[in-house]
Amino acid sequence: MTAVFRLTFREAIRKRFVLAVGSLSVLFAALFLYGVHLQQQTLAQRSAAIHLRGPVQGGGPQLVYGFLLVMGLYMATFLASLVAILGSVGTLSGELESGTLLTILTKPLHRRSILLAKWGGHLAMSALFMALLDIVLIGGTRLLTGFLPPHPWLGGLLQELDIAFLVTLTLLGSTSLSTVANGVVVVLLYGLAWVGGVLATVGQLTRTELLVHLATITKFLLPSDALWRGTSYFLQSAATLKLSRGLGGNPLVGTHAPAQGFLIWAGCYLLLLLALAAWRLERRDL
Amino acid sequence: MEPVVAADLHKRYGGRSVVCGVNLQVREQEVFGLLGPNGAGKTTTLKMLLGLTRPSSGKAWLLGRRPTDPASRRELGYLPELFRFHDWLTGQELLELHGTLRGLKGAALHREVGAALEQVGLLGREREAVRRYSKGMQQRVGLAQAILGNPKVVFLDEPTSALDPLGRVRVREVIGWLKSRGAAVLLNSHLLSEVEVVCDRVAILKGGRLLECIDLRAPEAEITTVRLEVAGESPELAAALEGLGRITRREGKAWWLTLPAARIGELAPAVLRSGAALLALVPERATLEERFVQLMAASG
Repeated sequence: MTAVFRLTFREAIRKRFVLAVGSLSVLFAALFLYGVHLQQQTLAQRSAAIHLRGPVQGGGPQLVYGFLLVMGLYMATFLASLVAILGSVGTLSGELESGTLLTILTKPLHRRSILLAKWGGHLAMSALFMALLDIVLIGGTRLLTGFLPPHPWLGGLLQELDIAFLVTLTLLGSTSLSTVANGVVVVLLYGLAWVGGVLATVGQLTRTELLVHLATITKFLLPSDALWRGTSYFLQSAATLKLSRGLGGNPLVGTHAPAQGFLIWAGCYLLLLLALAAWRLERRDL
Repeated sequence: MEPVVAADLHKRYGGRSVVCGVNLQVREQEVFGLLGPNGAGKTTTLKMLLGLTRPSSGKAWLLGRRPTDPASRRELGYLPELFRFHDWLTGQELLELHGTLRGLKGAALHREVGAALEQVGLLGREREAVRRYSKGMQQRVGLAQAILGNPKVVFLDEPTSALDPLGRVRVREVIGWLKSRGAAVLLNSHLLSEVEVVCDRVAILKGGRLLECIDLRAPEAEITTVRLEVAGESPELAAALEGLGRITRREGKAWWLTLPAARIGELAPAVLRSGAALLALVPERATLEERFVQLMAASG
């Protein structure tokens, strides 16, 4: 099993997936941190212009930095989600289509063991990517501005759960669909989850029950957007949350802590999808 | 129990039967050929025996266990027809991966990889990426992964399709080497001349059914073609010959007849009894290809 786990990393490196994603991520992080730096400079110049001693402190700048960082992490989560989906989209279907998996599946291993090893490899790779992006963006912002979100670890954990869900969903699709079809389906479902999150905000703002119900169903079937909202809740300061709530919510970030029941459901749902993927691969005629 | 057993295997996709009641056994130290036209159900039968496809009904055993049991595949080697591998690995890395998955490790893994590379003639090229190999070399590295660790059963699906004549000779040598070590080899090939040389027995499939199982090493069962030259033939000659075998061709004084080898001795008396003079009687051993074609024609 460890051989298949290692093979996933080896393949990503040899096929230059790591190089391509790594280079573009460095570019993204540099651009974001440069933006934070410019913002910090602007605020410092303004404080000098009104003869304040030292950089501007207090609620205003914290709101700005907090907002910037949450938006940066929103993009980072989006990028990591794409890496999780596109990195694992052909892991079974592609190898079944090309025939490379036939010689592996005739080795003395359960098919579910091979699936679990591949799942572990893709999950570890995507989770590592997410964690590195978080460290660079949060750490960089802290260095440049002194701002640190209130609960970065809790936020990070929910982000990783989101990534794990996407890897699992993609792997499940990969047991039955062709690579292209699986990629299209999972990206569409990811988009659907996002729409569900926006509908929830609009439904709550306009008090439209049907919209809220639809959004709740979407949230439980496709929890990725709701997990991001949970993540973003832990990354915002009390002042930012108060402001968002005062405006009736924010379509892109969460304003309330995720319910414990929902988090338990998301974890169980992920395991259920993984078990379904293993069952499907075990039963499939090749 | 024989290393490979199929008992009344059926496979249906939707309402269409692809394999209908195939029974066969492959013995230890035997090379068994699976023959048939395209769509005969050979690959599906092979996949059911390997545990890649589940039979709709019937049972299969691999080394005494059901093929879906991973333990049955501990001593199994398999080269698929579409030999595609992780071509970004080097030949050495590819074999190490497959050896590890077979349960080999440490010095044993290193030794077996070296031996397999030598067997297929790739020693010295193992540090190159598989994608840089020619098609023939890729097939040979595929064969190497199939014979890693001296498996007791080896399934080879069209193992020479991409090879030149020298490569084919090497594959024949590898099959002979496997047999000499006691392995059972199941060979699926369209090259009947090759099958005839290396196989001990063959099963001929058509439309998912097993038409015949021929023991190529048993002379008593051999069907032979005989050429007769006859003068002064009478109407009774044809009837007498058809009583012994099947007339396949006639040109002037020459008649070709297929019949069991054991009945050749009855030919000359039958010709003479019909009143004709026998000018020549030349046994011509029917090739597997001829027998295959005859069988296909006879089965409609």
